[in-house]
Parts: sequence; structure tokens; C-alpha cells
Amino acid sequence: MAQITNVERPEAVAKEATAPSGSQLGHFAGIAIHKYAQVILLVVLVIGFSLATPRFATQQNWTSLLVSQAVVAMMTLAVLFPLIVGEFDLSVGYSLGFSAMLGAYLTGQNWPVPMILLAMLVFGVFIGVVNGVLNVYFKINSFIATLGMGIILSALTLALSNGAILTTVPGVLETLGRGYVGGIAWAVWAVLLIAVVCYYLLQHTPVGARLYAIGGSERVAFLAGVRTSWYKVLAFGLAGAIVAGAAMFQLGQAGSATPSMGPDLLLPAYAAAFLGVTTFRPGFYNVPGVIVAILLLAVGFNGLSLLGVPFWVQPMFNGLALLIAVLFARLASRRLGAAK
Amino acid sequence: MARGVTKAFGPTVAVAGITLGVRAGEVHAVAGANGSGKSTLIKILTGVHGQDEGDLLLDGEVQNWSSPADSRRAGVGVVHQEAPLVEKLTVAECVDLLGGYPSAKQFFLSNKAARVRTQKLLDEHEVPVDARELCSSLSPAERAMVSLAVAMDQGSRVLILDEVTAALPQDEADQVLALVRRLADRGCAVLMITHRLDEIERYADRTSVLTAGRLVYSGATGEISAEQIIEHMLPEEGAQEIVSSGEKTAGGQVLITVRDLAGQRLAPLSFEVRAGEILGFAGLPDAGIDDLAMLLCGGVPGTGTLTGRGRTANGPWTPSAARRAGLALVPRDRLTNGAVALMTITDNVALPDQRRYWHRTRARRATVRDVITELDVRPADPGLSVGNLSGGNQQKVILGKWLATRPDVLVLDDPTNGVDPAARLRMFAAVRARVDDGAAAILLSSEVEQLTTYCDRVLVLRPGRPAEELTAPDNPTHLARLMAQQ
Repeated sequence: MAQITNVERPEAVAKEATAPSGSQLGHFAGIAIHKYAQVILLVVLVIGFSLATPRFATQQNWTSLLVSQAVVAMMTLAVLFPLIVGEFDLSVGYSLGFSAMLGAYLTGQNWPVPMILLAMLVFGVFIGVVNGVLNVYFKINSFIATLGMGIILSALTLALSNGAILTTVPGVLETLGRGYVGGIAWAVWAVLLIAVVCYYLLQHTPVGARLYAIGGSERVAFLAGVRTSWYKVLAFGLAGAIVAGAAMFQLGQAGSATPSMGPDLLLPAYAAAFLGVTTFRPGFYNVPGVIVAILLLAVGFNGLSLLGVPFWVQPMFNGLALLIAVLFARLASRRLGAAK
Repeated sequence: MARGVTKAFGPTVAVAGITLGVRAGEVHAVAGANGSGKSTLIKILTGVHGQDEGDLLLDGEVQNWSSPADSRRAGVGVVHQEAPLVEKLTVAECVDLLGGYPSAKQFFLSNKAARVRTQKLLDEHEVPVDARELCSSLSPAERAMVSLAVAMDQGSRVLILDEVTAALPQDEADQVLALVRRLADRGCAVLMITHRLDEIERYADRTSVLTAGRLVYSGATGEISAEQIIEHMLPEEGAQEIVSSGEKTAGGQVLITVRDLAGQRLAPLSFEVRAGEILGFAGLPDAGIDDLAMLLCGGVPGTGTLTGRGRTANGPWTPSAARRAGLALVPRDRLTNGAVALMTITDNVALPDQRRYWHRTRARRATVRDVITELDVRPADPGLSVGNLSGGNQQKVILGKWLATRPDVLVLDDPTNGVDPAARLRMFAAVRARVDDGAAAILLSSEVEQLTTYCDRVLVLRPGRPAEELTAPDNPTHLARLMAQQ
């Protein structure tokens, strides 16, 4: 969907590119601006807000800014995997809510903490695998399959809590959710760890290359000997696992599980994933792009609210950022295509 | 029609000062290697691209088209290789849509009026298609013919055909070209881009050849032989060596054994492939030959057994099982089955063998470089998306991807479809080199000459009869006659 490239290049390219070095230099500059536009914009915003208000560039502000984005960042990394293989997972929001509720519920039942965490993780992976199986083996469109799964999960969340807020939270999670190491929150460290693992997996292993190939053309990957069914289920399973991790931090940060927790994280996660497509590896869902996108949205919101803009400006900013970035990327790739 | 037309993209001149005309009632064939500017020329003639220099003339008047709609209004119709019809509509609905709903009464569409009108149109042009059929059920040849009829319906006086027959087997191509000939005889001017030289000889009145954006030959069809056309199409640097299949020896050890391979339309078939041979398969579509390559390589499920590299797979087997038995498939449809358009040359070439390249970037780079050099992929940039290459170069990448996995038996399913003659020679030279090194290849082709030129052995499939084997075939006419025997 957000694979933005330019395939309509004329045959002319097929001949040797005899471009003089001068225009080639301009060409590379064009690519650099295109690929790193968001990084540049991020730096500009940071400098701008720092100059505009003294409250922006304080340690306290940055700490809370990063912590507030940790769970969304994990959710974005989770949806990245199904997106890469060309599928949607709409159940992640409800899945987070359910996992958090499950954790709180089991704490209330006096389960040992390791068992609770294991149960949350296993359930997360299980939900992901069921999504994958519904999609791959029962050939249900992932949009529909995961939507159905999400609605079922929201019902289970209500059943588990009986509609009430559960405040029984494992102590470890509260420590992790609110604690700091080296001046940086545990949650932020966790995001970094997950991001690095995902980056390595996607960019530097055969698994990642195959996932991207499936997203590019499932048929071609299949004919190349890739076990596409297995890898697609894997993508959904990984999403489920990361969502379970996000649920642990969400539970710890909030200190309670509410039945309505989760679904409101879905759209920000997808917005960040789509925004990330335009950066670093244009046309492909990629981890660094996603991280920059989340920072960009967070800094934009944070700076604007410090400047005292009305409360409705934030979603406006997020929506406009997404649309403008995608438009910009499309224009840039078209221009580059024509210049080659 | 075009006079001194030039078009450049950045520093690359795609079309340089071409002057070309088509008269009413004439079929004018344009041949040229991949990347010689044919597509660009078509885009200029149909108003997709504006020309940098030169004029377009229609009936002697200078035209100023800024969009395809302008050229269509002026009476220039174009039919592309993959004739775009809306799959889920009936032929009548589709023709109505493309014609701008001429059968509509005010705000209401009348299905019946559309059907009657479309059927009349089809009958008028002797297109054997029922207007009530779904577009998705049409054969490629029928689609092409319906598209031609639509172009006529839109009042085209000039028809431009962009490799319309490239994907069609010979008999269906003839059906389409017979229609084209009829349209020309009714006074239509036809400009036909094609790679098939035999089509030029049989259907065109005049022939022009493009090389590197320049018009290098133009004249009446009878005045130039097929060999001369090929010569014109080749780039000037260095003559190309013609690859012969050598002494056509019966090969060495058995590499794969296939027993009772059968699919939906293919009757049970058993054969062996030996090291050092290129085995060809010939047959008309009703012998089930279209599915053969996919069945062999696990792309569509079939029955039977496949033995190779000491493993036996029972049908239906998967592509990865076929690969373990030593098979590799260069499929017919480049972008649906062959390559991931959005990924780079490097990623495409490395796809089947990811594990081999894990943490071995240098090895991967060397493999990709070898592929690009051996097959002369242009532009030689490993970081370019395959979708941005011309068709012939895409096909080279796909062949190279599988050559790099060192298969025992390379299955080539119409590998040179839409590929220019020079590139064909290079691709077959690469295949022959592997075969001489102890591998083998299976070749399926819609061009009979290709089978007789390159194959050491050809199995002819006919419905309801056992396959007939031809050793060292050298007579295309004989082979074609065998195929047609029922």
C-alpha cells in the first residue's frame, strides 16, 4: 500500500547511463534529501522548539516525552511485521488491552509473577499465530480476520474484568514501567532493544530478506522456494509477541488495567509505520524510519503543547505530517525517476 | 506521421530524430532491440510524452497532443500487450465502459442495448467472442481482439500495436494478426511493434528498424531478409557469436527422473533428463503444455513423482522440494512469477539462496556482479529496482538469479518472450555454458525455431497420445507438423 516507487520509467534507462559526474552529484544529493527529509525536519523542529521555549530542551521534558512514546513505539514495531509481508493486523490494540487485563487478572488470582509474564507472552504469540493461520490457511483477508479477532478479544477483556478496572499489577512491571536506569526509563531501553533486534532480523538475516520478498511478491518468493505460509504466520506471531511486551509496560505505567485500554493505540501505530516508509529505505517498511517517525510526531506534539496551542492541534499535526510526508516522498521519487 | 522526432530523458536520448510514416491501408512493422526506443516512440505518438523536437503529423496537419485523450480524439488508437479489460465485467459492459457508455439512455444504462451493440461490433470485425462472457474468461488472443475492436469502436484511423502478440502462441497470434490485416484492408493505418520476425514477413507491408533511438532501416518488407533485420538490430560493437547446439550429443548421467507427471490438462508424462542436454517440449495448448513447467517446479499442484539429487518427491510437491531435487524455473510471466519488481537486482538475485549469503555480503556482491557481466544486464547497477529495467533486462536478471543457484536442471518456460535477438543469444549462451559443464536444461517455447535450434532432444506432446521423441531436431516445419497432428 505504501510502497512508493516509480515503475513507469521509460526504456531510456535501459541504455547506459552516460550522465556527467556533475548531474550525478546532484542526483545523490537528491536521494539524500529524499531519504533523510524526516531526520532533517526532526532536527529543525528540535532546534526551533529549543529556541522558542526554555521548557523544551530540559532533561525532564525529554524524559517524559520519550516515556510517553515507548508503548506506541513497540506497537509500531509490532505492526511492521505483518505490513512487511503485505498484511494488516488490526487486532494489536485489542490484543494489548487483553494481555494487560490478563496480567492484572492473574495477579489478582495470586499467580507467581514469572508465570503471569509467561502467560501474557504466550497469549500474545498465540493470538498472532491464530491471526496468521486464519489468513494463510483459511485464506481470510487479514484485514477481516484480525478485525474479527480484535472484536473477540475486546469481548474477552470485558469478560475477564467483568467491566471493571483491575488495579492488581505485578510489582516488577510497576518498577519497569516507572523506573529509570542511567537517567533513561526502562521502557525506552526496552524499545531500543526491540528495535535493534528487529532491525538486525529484518536487514541482516535471511528471515528478513524473505519477509520483504513475500511482501514484494508472494508468488515469486514461493517459486523461489520460500515457505511463504510459515513466514507469514511467523510475521503475525512476532507481532503478537511484541504486543505482549508492550502490554507489560502499558500495565506497569498505568498501574491498572481498564477494559478500554489498547484500541486507541492502533491508529497512531499505523500512522507511524506509514510515515516511516518514507525515510531511510524509501518504499519499504523499515525500523529506523519508524523510530524517526515516532520521534518526529512526539517532538511535534510536545513542542506545540509547550507553546500552548489548543488541544486539537496535536491530531491535526499527526494527520498532516503523515499526508505531507507521503506526498513529498511520491513527488521526490517521481522527480528522481524522471531525472535518471 | 512523425517527422524528426526527438525525446531525451535527462542526459539520455531515447529517440533521436526519427521520421516515420504510416499510410491508410498499410501495416508498418517496427522492430528493435530492448531499449532501442520503441516504447518511447509509442508514448510520443499517443501523446503520453511530449517530444522535445520534431512534429507529429496527421493527414498532413501538425498535431499538438498533450495527453492520450487528445490523440485518441484525433483517431489514434493503441493496443498494448496486456490489453487492459476489467476482469469482473462482461465483454459488453467493458466495451461500453471504454466507449464512454454510448448505449446509455440519459442516466440509465441498458445492459441489453450494450450487449446488442457490442455483439454487433464483434461480429462486424469477425471476432469470435460472445459479448456476455466475462472478460476474465477470455484467452489472451481474445482479449487482444476485443481491444482491437474497442479501438475501432472509438473511431481510430491509426492503430498502434505495442507487441500485442508477444505473449501469444503462434496460432493465436495468427488469429489476431489476421484481424489486424482485415482492419488495414478496410483503410486503417497500422503501426505494429514486434519482436517476431516471421510476423513481419507475413503481415507487414513495410518494415523499420530502430537501434539506440535511431531509425537505421526503413523499406518495403520484401526487400529485407530476417537475417538482415537482426543484423540491423544488433548494437554495433562486436559481432555476436551465434550459439549452435554443438554436436547435439545424447548426454551423460541421469539428473532427474519424472514419472507420471500429470496436472489438470496434462496427461501422465514420464521422462528423464541427462547431464549435458537441452530437452525441449513442444505441443499445442490442448496438450496441457502450458502448465508443464509450473507442474515440474511445484508452482501448481500435480501428481506423479520427481527424483533428483537422490531425493524422490511425490506430487503435489512444493517449489522448495523441486529445488532440492535440482530444478530451477525461469517462468513465463516475468513480474508475476519471476522477479519482485520493487526489490533491487541484488535482492532478487540473492532471494533463492539467502542462507548462503548470510553475513557474506562480499560473496553476494560477487555473485550479482557475475550475473550482470555474464548476461550483460543494463544498466549495470545492482542497486536498481528490477521494475525499472526493460523487459529483456528483467528476464536476464531472472535467468541469472537461477543460474547463480547452480541447478542441475534449468527449466526455461518461454524465456525469451519479448526479448530482443541479441539478448536471446546471450541468454542461450549462458545456458549452454552450464549445460556443457554437466548441467541440463528443459526448454519450452512458443517458437518452434527456438526448439530446433537449441534442443538436443524434443518431446512432442499431443492430447490422447503418447509423447513422441525427436532426437537432434533440425527441421522446424517438420516439428510444427508433428505438433499439429491429432
